[in-house]
Amino acid sequence: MRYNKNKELTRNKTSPNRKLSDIFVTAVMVVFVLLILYPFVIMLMVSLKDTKEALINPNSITKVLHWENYAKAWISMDYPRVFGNTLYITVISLAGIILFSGLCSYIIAWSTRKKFYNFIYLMFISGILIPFYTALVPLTKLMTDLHLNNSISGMILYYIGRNMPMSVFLYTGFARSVPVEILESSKIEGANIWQVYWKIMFPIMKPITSTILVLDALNIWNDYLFPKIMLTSKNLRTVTLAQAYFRGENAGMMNLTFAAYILTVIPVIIFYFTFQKYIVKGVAAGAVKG
Amino acid sequence: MAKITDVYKMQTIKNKNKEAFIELLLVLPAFAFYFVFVAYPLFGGIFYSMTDWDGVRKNLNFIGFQNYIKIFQDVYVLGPLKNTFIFAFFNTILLNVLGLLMALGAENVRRGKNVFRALLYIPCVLSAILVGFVFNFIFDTPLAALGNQLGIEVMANNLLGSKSHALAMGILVSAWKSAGWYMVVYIAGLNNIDQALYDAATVDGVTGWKKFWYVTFPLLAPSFTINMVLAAERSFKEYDLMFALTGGGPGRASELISMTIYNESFTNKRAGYGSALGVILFLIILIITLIQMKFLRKREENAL
Repeated sequence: MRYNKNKELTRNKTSPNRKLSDIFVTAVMVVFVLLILYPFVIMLMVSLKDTKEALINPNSITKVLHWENYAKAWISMDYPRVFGNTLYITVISLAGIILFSGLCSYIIAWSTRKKFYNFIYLMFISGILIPFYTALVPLTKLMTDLHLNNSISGMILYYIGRNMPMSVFLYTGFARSVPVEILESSKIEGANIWQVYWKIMFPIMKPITSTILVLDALNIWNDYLFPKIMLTSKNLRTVTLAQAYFRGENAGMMNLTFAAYILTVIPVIIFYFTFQKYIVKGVAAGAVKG
Repeated sequence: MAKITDVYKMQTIKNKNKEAFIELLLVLPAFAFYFVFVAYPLFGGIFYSMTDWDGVRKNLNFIGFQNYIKIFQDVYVLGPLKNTFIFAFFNTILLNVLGLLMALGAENVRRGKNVFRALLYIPCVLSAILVGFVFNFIFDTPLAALGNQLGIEVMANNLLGSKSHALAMGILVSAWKSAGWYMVVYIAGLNNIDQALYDAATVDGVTGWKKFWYVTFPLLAPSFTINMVLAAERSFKEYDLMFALTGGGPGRASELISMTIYNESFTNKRAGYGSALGVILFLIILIITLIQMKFLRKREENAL
């Protein structure tokens, strides 16, 4: 509050110099925003042209708007299925991540067997730096051996595993900062570990839960390489796979391709603007702790 | 009397054991997921890196460090490795410069602070594969048309098709996609700076550029550390964006090591060799992170 007030005070002294710098800053920011928006404008304009015009002059606005491109793209990419696959994978994975890493971190942070669980904790966090490419070959073999390749459930199990180190790290850090008194009082009332976790701990950990949710949701939604290796059937495609294959399957038809891209971008943008506050906060919080 | 305490003791021991058992039960799922999908594949990767496995057949031979020796004589690996270092170096710098500029702009703009911030972050929520494909088209058509008008031949012929420009364009596109992320972290850092320090600086007559260089920037040290470390780590792991943008081409001019690992492991059926490359990448990231941490943490301590 005081910070804002001070800022207001200095701002109210509008000298010509100050005005000039305001204009300069605004101008630079507008340029940045235009650069950010330009690809979206191109996508939108091209998506409404016919195939020929899309290639000849993409920079102009057409007289006839071909909205039917969107209908064609919707059908061609099997949008509902692709969207449903990705939503299912993301939601179930997130539920698994939150459930397992939350419980595990609560025990790590509050068990009386400190030495043992500290060791377990160290094992978890040493997994954070491992690049995906180091484990690429054995992971692919493992998934095939377990018959988890070309399967949505396989992807879910993998995502839960992959996100364990980071979410255990974030949860444990948070759980350790919870005051002892709160947990002790509920234990005296005779609640067992399970009850204490769901009635006391989980609600307290809400901020870090939302951080983990927004960070992992976009990561899983936008993941490309592992689905590309694992999901070979057309009816198991995720959004990123559809984005990648659509271009090849509709070669030369940039108008349809961009219509398809816009269709895939819309839900993400809606998600972003709905949870913008949490996403921005989550990124900052997650980064500081990581 | 003695009997009763014994029973009581037995009871508490029983309870304690039961509690320990429940704790273990609650940790087990998380640990099992971690072990199967993170720890085991890492050790598997190290194991396969010392074999000549092709990724398909049952039999494999243990060949020690031969894969590792081969890597340092293989031009098809050294090229992408060099590209990856160039990409990581310039990408890390560009992301931080742009992220910081955007953060300062978004914090100092008179109106619409939140609007600017929200708009500049948008590319971060898109998939890298989409961004790569869209920019592939932008370089191919609208920018080529612009190059024609301006009479710049390289641009008219598509900058992504030029061996000396493709990698640089990849860095620019990567900056377009990710700079907003670094902006958000810098904004959080800027909001953590005590306003009193600014006031003190203003009283001392420090303004403008000097204020930034002597007050703001040193106090941003923690955000700077995080952003430098994460930008470098992510740059070394980049795959999707470059794959969609250039596919590593023309030739191998913009191929990153992650693409080489994928190609060797699957397309060329040299899973052992690919794994060895994966281990090398892990070591590179580990060493660079440790060096950065050492220098940047020291800088943080000096700033405080």
